[in-house]
Amino acid sequence: MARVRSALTRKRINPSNAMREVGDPAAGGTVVFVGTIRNRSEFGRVDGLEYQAYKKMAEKRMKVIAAEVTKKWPVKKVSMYHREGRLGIGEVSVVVAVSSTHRAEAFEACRYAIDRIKTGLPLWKRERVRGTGRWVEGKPIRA
Amino acid sequence: MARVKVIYFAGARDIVEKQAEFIEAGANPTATAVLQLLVSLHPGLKPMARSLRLSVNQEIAEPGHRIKDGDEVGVLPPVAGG
Repeated sequence: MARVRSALTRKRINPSNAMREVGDPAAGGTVVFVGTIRNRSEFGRVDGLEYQAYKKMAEKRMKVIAAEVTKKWPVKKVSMYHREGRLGIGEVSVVVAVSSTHRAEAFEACRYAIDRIKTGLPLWKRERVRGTGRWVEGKPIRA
Repeated sequence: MARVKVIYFAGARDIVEKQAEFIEAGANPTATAVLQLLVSLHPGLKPMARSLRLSVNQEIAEPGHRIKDGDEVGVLPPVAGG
């Protein structure tokens, strides 16, 4: 049975911690995806952004996504963390770490998890561009 | 009568100008009926109504999902995580 950890957090995310968490003596490969805040959007230079979350639902859905991953691939461990609140440029907004016996399933599982996080969590981001905040246009939430 | 807590997010929260409220939604209404009721209570939501999804007790609700007394309804604009 794969071990899974996931949470929404207001604290800084340290990707090394997630990588350490998925460490497993039977793992031959670990893939870590790290999402960071970009300094530009289609509307210009971004000064920072704020994530609003439906925390209770987001954490439930993160568990669902992690469970999907462990069902689809024979992974050893999965850790997923997403920030909420205000973030500056370059800060880590999301991390997904997956360990497995071989690298192929770790890459696939990690890719799947981050893609699901993008469209399957009740999270919204408000960009600050030249002093004005605007909600980033998203996609309808997917079950 | 279904008395439900409605929580608004992102652009919908900005329009409604509150995080949450309690509404009376008739007997055993569908998610679609509740959304229509919310739009009639807050006409400012109308332009975005088609893009809104509802959750019921933190699960994504299908349009025909029946909402019960005491449920928690989330009003979810298109999402942008990651």
